[in-house]
Formats: sequence, C-alpha cells, structure tokens
Amino acid sequence: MLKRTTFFFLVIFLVFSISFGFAESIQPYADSVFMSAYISLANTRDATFVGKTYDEQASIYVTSCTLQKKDSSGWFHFCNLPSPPEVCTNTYTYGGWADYASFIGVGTYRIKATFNADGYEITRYSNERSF
Amino acid sequence: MSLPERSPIAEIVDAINNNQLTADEMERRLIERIDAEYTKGNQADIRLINACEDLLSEMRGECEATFARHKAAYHQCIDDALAEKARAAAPRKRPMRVAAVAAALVCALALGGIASFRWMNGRSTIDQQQYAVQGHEVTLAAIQSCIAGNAGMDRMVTTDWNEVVALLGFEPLLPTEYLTEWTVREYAVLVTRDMVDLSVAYAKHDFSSDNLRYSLTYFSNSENAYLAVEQNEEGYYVSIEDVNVYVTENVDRSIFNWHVGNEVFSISGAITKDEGIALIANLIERK
Repeated sequence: MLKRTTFFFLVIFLVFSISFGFAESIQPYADSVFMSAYISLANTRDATFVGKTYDEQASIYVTSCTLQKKDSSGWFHFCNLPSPPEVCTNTYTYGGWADYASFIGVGTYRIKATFNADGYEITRYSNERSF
Repeated sequence: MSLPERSPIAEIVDAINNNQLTADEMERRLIERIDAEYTKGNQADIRLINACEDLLSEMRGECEATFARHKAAYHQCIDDALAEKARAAAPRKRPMRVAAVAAALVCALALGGIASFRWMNGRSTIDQQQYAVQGHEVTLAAIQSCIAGNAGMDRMVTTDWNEVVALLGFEPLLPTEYLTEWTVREYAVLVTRDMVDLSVAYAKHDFSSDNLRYSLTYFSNSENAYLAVEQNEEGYYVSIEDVNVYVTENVDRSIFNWHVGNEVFSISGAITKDEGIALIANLIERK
C-alpha cells in the first residue's frame, strides 16, 4: 500500500513538473492591453509597425528594435535597429514605419520590437523574410 | 494496397538526377506545372507552385524575370484601372500621394479575379499564442510600381466618418447591426505602399470599461501581406456563407478574424461569441 501511495505522489509530482516546465517555455502572447501588435517586414527591406489597444493611451511608440538573422542553429542577434520615429498620442492605434535597407543583406531575417503603451510593454517578432 | 502518389517535383528532381532532363526541358516542365496549378483556382496547390517557382528562380538566377509572364497581364489590368480612376479623381483634403495609394488599392480590389486573392491564409503560430494572416504569392507586385512614390506611412485619426471616406475615396464596410449600445471613439487610418488599414475603437454609451475594436485591412500586395492578432491559444473556424471565420480569445475578450479576397477583417472586445458571429454574418451578407 505504501508503495502504491508513493508511486501515486511521484506521478503527480512529475505531471506538475512537466506542466510548469512547459508553461515556462511558452511566452504567452495573449494581451489585455493590445488587441494586436505586429511588425511586417516587406520584401523592400522596410518594416511597418502596428499596435492596436483596447483602451485609449496617452502615448504609444516602439522603444527598441533589433534585427535577427537565421542560420543553421536558429535565430541570433544581428544588429540593433533605429526604432520608427512615430509617437502616437491620445489614441488607440499606433502606426510606424522604418526603412532598414542599409541593415539587411542576404539571408533570412526578422525584426524584434518592443511596443510601449503608457509604460506597458510587449515584445513581438515580425514575419521572417529571405533576401 | 496502392502506392502513395509521387509529387511532380520529386519526379522532376529524379529526372535531373538521372541526367534525363536538359535545363530547357526542366524549365518547360516547371512552367507547365505552374500554369496547370494556376488554372485550378482555389484548389491550386500553393506549396507546389512555390516550389516550382523557387526552382525556376534558382535556375535563372533572378527573381523578376521568372514571373514576367504573369506580371505582364496584371500590369495591363492595373494600368487600365489606374487610368480610369485618374480621370474620375476629385480633389482631396489629404496630399495627393495618399489619394494615389488609396486609388491604387481600390483598383487592386476591383481586380477580384486576380490570383493574389487566393493566396491569403491564416494560421496559429507554433506556440498557438498568435494568429497570423499572410500572403504567399507574388502576383500584385505590379501595384508596387504604381504607388512606388509612397515611401513611409501616412496616418490619420479622427472621429468624423466623412473624413475617412474623403481620405480613402471610397466607403469601407463598417458594422452597423448589433452595435446600438456602442459609440465610436476613434477612426484611425494607416496607409503604406502595401496596405490601407482602418481601425475603429468603440466604447459603451454607459462609459463602462467595455470596449470593442473593428479592423479592416486592404492589402495591395499579397507578398507583403502580414498582420497578427493576440490570442490565448489555438481557436477554431466557423463557416459563414462559405467564409471561414477564425474564432478565439484574447485574455477574456472574444476575437474574430476572417478575410475575403485581399481584405482582412478583425473584431475583438467585450462581445459574446454568438453576438460576434451574428455581427459578422451581417457584414458578410452586406458585402
């Protein structure tokens, strides 16, 4: 009986361990402030940044922006990028644009950017694109 | 037991490996396969087309020439449509380059039969945390040349619907049914070379914290078409008059996403699934 009880608790422990480990590996993208936040990397090497919030924000802008490149082992930091200059105030909708032609060469790239809405920040990745 | 059907690409690759194909013959077969798939319309195998076109690109060492035959036809349609639009153009409040972009996009929408409209699809990311819509085909790239002068983004925010219509030069589809309790707080229009995005923010009349977002994005170039909405996890599809509506949740708010041609729609906020589906059915019916 003792063995069965021990086995039962061991199984419960393993299940919870696996669950918590899995939860840590996934960064939830659901967001209570943003309905939508994305970066679209175009074939012309420019990027469009869009953020849409549920509530009105005093300011929405992009605080940081980096370029990532893909190699055989995955994505790695390639270089920092200037953030789009737009700061949208008293609005629900952010729109920004930047030309990164001088940063992007041959290869597969994506952009990582952090959106800020009244101090609340989320980080999102663009679509990947090969040039 | 029947053997699985081999892919045409695999047959071509085998033929190359066995030295049975000359470069010209390989090119001929690839083009023939692409044309055959295009004629299937909605049933076309986009992965097969992409694979064939990639092979062609590699063979020729260039991208533009590969699709020249398809582009030529699109160029002519777009040029004709733009010329017609220019004749009917009226003065606008906004700079002309914005009007030109909107006009070009309207022309693009008018070309409903063009293949690009078939190549938009949506799927959840691998971790199921976002739902993304992306175009997968180079077809309306010609439009880029029509509006090449519009580098950057134009943005307008207003509470006056007439200003939106004046800016765009056409009246976008808006939900009207089932929104009697809601009032518009903001219309926002974003215009780039590749898309026009209209976002509407609604709030309840009673000034409760409930809110609702409606978005309509027109893509002029399916190759650069990309957007994403937030979600808790993989959702499900509901078919409304042959339109697949993706239904999911963002934290505790419903979120709906669907596309018709190259127009992508999103609704999210404090409405139930049933209310959202009824609202969308009305929108689809009016389109």
